[in-house]
Amino acid sequence: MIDILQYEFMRNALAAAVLVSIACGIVGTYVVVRKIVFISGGISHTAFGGIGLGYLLGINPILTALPFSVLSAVGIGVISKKTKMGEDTAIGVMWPVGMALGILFIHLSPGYAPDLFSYLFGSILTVPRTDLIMMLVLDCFIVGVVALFYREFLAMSFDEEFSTVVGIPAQKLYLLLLCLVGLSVVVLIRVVGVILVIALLTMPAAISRNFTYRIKRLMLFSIVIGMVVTVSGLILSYVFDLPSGATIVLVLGGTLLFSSWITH
Amino acid sequence: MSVVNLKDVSVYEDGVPLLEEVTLSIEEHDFLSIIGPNGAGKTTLLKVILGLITPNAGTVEVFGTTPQKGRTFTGYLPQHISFDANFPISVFDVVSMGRYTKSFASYTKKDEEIVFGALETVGIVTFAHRQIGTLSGGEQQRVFLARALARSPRLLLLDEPTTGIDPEMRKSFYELLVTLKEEMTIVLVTHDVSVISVYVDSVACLNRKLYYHGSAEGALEKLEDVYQCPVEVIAHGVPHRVLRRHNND
Repeated sequence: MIDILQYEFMRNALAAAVLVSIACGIVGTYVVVRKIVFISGGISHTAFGGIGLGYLLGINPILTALPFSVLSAVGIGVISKKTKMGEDTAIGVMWPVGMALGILFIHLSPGYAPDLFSYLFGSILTVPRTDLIMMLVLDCFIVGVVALFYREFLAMSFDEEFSTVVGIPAQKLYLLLLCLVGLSVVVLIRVVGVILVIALLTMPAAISRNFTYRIKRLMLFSIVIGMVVTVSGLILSYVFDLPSGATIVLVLGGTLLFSSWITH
Repeated sequence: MSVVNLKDVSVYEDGVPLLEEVTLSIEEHDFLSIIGPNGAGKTTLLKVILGLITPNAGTVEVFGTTPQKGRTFTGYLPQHISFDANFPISVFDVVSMGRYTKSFASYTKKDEEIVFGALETVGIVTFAHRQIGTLSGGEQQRVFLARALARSPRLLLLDEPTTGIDPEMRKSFYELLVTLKEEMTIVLVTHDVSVISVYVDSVACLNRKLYYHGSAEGALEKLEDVYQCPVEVIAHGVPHRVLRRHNND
């Protein structure tokens, strides 16, 4: 077992698992308790437009996914709050438009799009070192923002009106939270792909919820569960030669079922 | 000194008037009850005082400043709090939100003492570490009152606070308010007309326009105008009829 660590791709994969778990443990907790799962799904799919743009411009798609993802987060947030369209309609608009842009960009880019499949469904065994550095930077940013605004996020998630009354800019904070979701999507894309991102943003927190009602512990549990599950998924996919993103998601699903069953 | 000063305040939503030319000033240590039928704009009026709604016309002053700045001294108990009963938060943490003043700080030891004090005042200190959803409706209502009190407010705004509370507890709730009146100004929005006679000092009758603002006794004559139907006012919990008969004398 230890000897697989001598491969660089395996060490990178383990690092990716840790980095991914931090983002999904912290942001995923808010996604679940603030009930913005489908907004987050919308943001992650919209980010595919950014991936396509990267192919078109001939640069690392993760770099173009970053602004795309953050802009779509702000876009969905602003449209759903400021217009009469409603949240679910805003999601229904941004989601396919983002994906359609991605498909168009890829169609327009010269040549064949080699690892397109890995951006859609993830591939933890092929995360390059440059992307790991980017994931680390984003993780630090996410942890920093949440540490600074922990009380504000908690109050805003629980009761938006009251938090406004005590002087918390709840709407701006909500947009900031959606931006954190956008950043987490970028952290997660390499590992599970835009289509499966929502699994890692939802399930670790959903599993932890069976064991605690304290939000800090929820984050901590989610991070640990995220790590254990991604690493087991990684090992399973390596040993049995399975697609890693899908394996991780299925291990998560199984863990969720099992934990709900034993705590019920 | 006036705690709240509204002058010719009108609020429209999509062209529909919610409040029309309301002029109202609330004095310090007043216990004012705002009554009126459904859709009279009672909640809107509170939200104007809180600065959550900016009026289309008129001026609002709270503690001689803007409602947004005046909020520092204001405690608020909303009518409906849309929150998730499964939200992972303890009673203590909910009430702590009332102590929030600024970003880049944390709750202090003193905040903690005030939070426990507020929990004690409303009689639920034993539930401090329970998850909010495990409490009954009436207990949750007391948590939110404690949250408003934890602000150490000089103005307490209560929107239909006794909805979902049984009559026995209602009485002790009002008695609690009477003791709080020593320290703060209280504005109570209610449907419960019986409360007027016994506990409050003054009454404002609202039905989009302000029909009456003055002593509780005088309000009863105006009730009919506001509700636009005869109102029988019965004072619960008092052995004798304290209210003057009206209309037929």
